[in-house]
Amino acid sequence: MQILLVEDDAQTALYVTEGLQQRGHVVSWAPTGSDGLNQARGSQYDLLIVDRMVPGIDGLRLVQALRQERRNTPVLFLTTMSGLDDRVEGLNAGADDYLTKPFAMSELVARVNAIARRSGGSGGGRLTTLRVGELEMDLLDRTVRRGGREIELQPQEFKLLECLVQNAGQAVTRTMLLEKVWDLDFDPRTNIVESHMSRLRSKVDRGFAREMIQTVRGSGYLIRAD
Amino acid sequence: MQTRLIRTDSFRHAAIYTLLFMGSMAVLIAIVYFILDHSYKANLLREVGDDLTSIRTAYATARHGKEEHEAKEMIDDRMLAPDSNDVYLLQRGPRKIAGNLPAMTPQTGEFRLPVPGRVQGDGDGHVILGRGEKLSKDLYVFVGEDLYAVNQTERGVLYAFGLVLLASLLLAFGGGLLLSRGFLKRVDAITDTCRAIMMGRLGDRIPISGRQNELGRLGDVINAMLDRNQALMESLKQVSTDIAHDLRTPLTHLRYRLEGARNAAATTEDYAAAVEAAIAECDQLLTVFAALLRIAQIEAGARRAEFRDVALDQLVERVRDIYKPVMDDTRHPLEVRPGAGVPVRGDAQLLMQLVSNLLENAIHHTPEGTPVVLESGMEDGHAFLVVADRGAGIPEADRVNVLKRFFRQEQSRTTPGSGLGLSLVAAIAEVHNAVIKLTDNNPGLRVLVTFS
Repeated sequence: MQILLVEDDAQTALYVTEGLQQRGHVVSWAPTGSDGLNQARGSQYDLLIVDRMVPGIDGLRLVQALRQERRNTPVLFLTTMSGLDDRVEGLNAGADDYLTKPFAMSELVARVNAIARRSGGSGGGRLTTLRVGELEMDLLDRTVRRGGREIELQPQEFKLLECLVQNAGQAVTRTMLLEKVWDLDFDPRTNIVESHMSRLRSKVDRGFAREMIQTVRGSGYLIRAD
Repeated sequence: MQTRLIRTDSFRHAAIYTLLFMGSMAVLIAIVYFILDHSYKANLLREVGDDLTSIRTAYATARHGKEEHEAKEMIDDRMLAPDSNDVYLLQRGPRKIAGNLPAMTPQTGEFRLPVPGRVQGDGDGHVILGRGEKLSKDLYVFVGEDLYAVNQTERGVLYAFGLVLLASLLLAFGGGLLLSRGFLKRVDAITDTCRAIMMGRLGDRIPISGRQNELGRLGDVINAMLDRNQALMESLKQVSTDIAHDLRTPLTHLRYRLEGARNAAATTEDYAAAVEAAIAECDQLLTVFAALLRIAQIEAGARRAEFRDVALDQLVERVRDIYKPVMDDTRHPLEVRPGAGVPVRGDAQLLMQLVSNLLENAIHHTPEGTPVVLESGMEDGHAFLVVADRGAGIPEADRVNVLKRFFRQEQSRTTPGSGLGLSLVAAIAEVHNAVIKLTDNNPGLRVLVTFS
């Protein structure tokens, strides 16, 4: 992917650039908001990673300006602004995701992949059936089948599985699951995700030779077809 | 000081009211004076008219040749009345026949004339008002009255009014000064307090007058604001101290660990393990920072503007859905009693965190196998939330302290956690105007959150 990074801190910029380059992305760096805006207008990027507090035009205004010009390049805010309303403010400005510093590279990569998948994927409308290998989810009937056998899931387990399947083949982090499945904006001190995940796993993978849901150490979970 | 007194609003008000009062008094006096003067003179002229009529009648009805004599008798009679200010004159041609005025040039109708023997217009009020008439071709009669007494009375009235005016002017001036002095004294008390606070004496307060007037209420409100500010400043100071103390320990640990790795690690695995552990310690530190920031933001009340109705029963059920699996895993039977649907004004995310933190505390601090009760409902018109466990509970002496930042009971120092869970709960409750009560659950801890 062609990624534009708008970030004034050189050390963070280096960390992000190297991390993403190792995973095959091409990253350009803009150290100020005005640079970022010019570059974003000048060439076609697949994703913008924007710090909210950058010199020149601040990140929030940059994104608002781009959205007003009907440029729909996905945006991920990467910022130290972790206030109660900052996240909502960022998403309302037109960003696709919001990640606060400090962050783990695995978290950033997972979110970048999720955005790439959403914007690059199916495109035309929302799917009503999701499929990963022999696993099939019907989002209307709320039913799940694996290899023709129906799997009974609790509503929360269904949402969890849906989140994994939408990012099939890619790691989904614990924080992403907390945000998307349970709408929690704080980090619980108990193993909520793990407990739900182990229940989901036992239902999805029990009685099958191969485990579809896998733990990615230091990163999160993923569901895989092969 | 004098000019300050006079420049106050209260003095200005007193002055304006005095002027208005004086104005209305002057109008009143003018009206009274005019009415008094008019009626007195009308009365006088009527009496003069009556006398003239009597004299004319006496003259007309007298036997022939006795006319002049009858008129003279009549005037002489009238003049016998004691203390009379009346003046009479009867003259034929230039010769005076009767009366107490010297003969004068006959003049008919109503007119004024000076009292003979006095210099005219010396302003002492001796003026005669009366009426002259011709009884026959050369017989002239004049009846009048010295206005001196009337003028004296009128002067007295004016004088009295003047005194009243002067007295009220003095009273108003004095009252205005007194008022403004009292006002200034209390404003000075406020400014002095403000100056003292600016100089750093943060504990100073405006003296309380006890009176529920506008300045008293202003003082009360300012004092309340100062209390709040001082509490905030102290809590800020406390936070900085707490951070310095409590973050130093994990930072020191981190340093030991890295130093140990530098000195002792021999293999790549050793280094990997040390790095892994160091990252975990950093994450723990960051968690504490995040919690502190969050508490500060919640305490600042930024979210109040976004408060909506939150149904506690639905919240409790949502918490159950999220936490049931964890609690099954830790073998803490969870009993949920969502009472009647009670909406409270609040922030769903924050309330969610409040319940989660209380539940997580119960999970972390009670032995496996003990039940936890989560309840919501309505009592005495107040919505409430309860989280009750069957663990060791909290000694009564510590129950206030656990809500403070970084306070951790000695026995829980070893269990993971920031020590901020309950202070976060306290901050969230505070911003919702809810009261937290920790009680003994016999055994265990019962946390009651009552909304107002």
